[in-house]
Amino acid sequence: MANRFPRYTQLLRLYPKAYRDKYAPQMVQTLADMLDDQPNKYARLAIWLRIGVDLPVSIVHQNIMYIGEVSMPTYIKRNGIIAGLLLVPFLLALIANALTATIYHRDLYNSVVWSTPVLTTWIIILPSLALLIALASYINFLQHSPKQTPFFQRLHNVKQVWPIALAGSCGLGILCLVAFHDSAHCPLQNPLHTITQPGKVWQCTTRGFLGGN
Amino acid sequence: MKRQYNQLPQVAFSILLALSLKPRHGYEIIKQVKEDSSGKIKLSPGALYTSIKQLHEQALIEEIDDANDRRRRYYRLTSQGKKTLVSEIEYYQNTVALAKQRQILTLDLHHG
Repeated sequence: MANRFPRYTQLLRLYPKAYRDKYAPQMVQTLADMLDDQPNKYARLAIWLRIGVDLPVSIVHQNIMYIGEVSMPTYIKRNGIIAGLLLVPFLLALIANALTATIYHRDLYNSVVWSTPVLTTWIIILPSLALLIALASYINFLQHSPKQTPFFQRLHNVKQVWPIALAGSCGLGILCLVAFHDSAHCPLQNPLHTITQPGKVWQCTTRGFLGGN
Repeated sequence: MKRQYNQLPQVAFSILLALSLKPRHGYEIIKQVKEDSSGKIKLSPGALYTSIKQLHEQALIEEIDDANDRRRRYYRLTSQGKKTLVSEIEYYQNTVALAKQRQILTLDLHHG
């Protein structure tokens, strides 16, 4: 039966394994029954079109459900949420800046959000805290994982730690962005430059890293 | 804890209704749901088995084997499933009675 619809069967592999093992053969059988019962090729085409819409939605839905079903220590969920919340000010500041630039044609670099203590908080302190929380949770997870599980398997057991892995990666990403961001080549100023050299006005030029007036 | 009324999604309710007459396999459920809804609900395998999984996890339906048809899995209502279906139908009965009492069905909005 699977050979009759090879592409459909391949797509079913995108479902979580538990779901796929239980329902994929029945889905293929049901599809075969549906197509066999149609009087002409247009009716069969209509079924394929419906499946083209239905299948991706169903695959995404089942994978989301699967993530929710994975047994995960409570502190991983809690710390993942906390670390994620610590990154919200960064996103809000960038969104606010982009919106202001779009609507009012001016940026927020001279506002209180970009003033040194506030800026330091949302681009360095909060992302660093998020990264630290994520790392501490991950180390704790590794220490308390079953010892019979091979170390490297525990190391990349992303299914059980994805909230802190996601938040930690975002925190690290923000810190890297801040550290390596080049004010001289980009309309968005490097906040590190603003902090370290508050009096300097950075322009978008091609003069190279740390080029400014 | 007593189950609240009308907790089932439309598709799940339709599947329970389709299984109220006899056990059915996937395509039979799809056909029956389409017929019961006058063609308004057209299920595809993805949506069907998503709902079947949920109903199975809630112990409202169960799988059975048919000795004459090894290729297909059949599904039937459990006793809990029957109770749930009755509870849902009672809810709709009450809703229809209320709608009649308030003459909602004869208001202009029915035609608009």
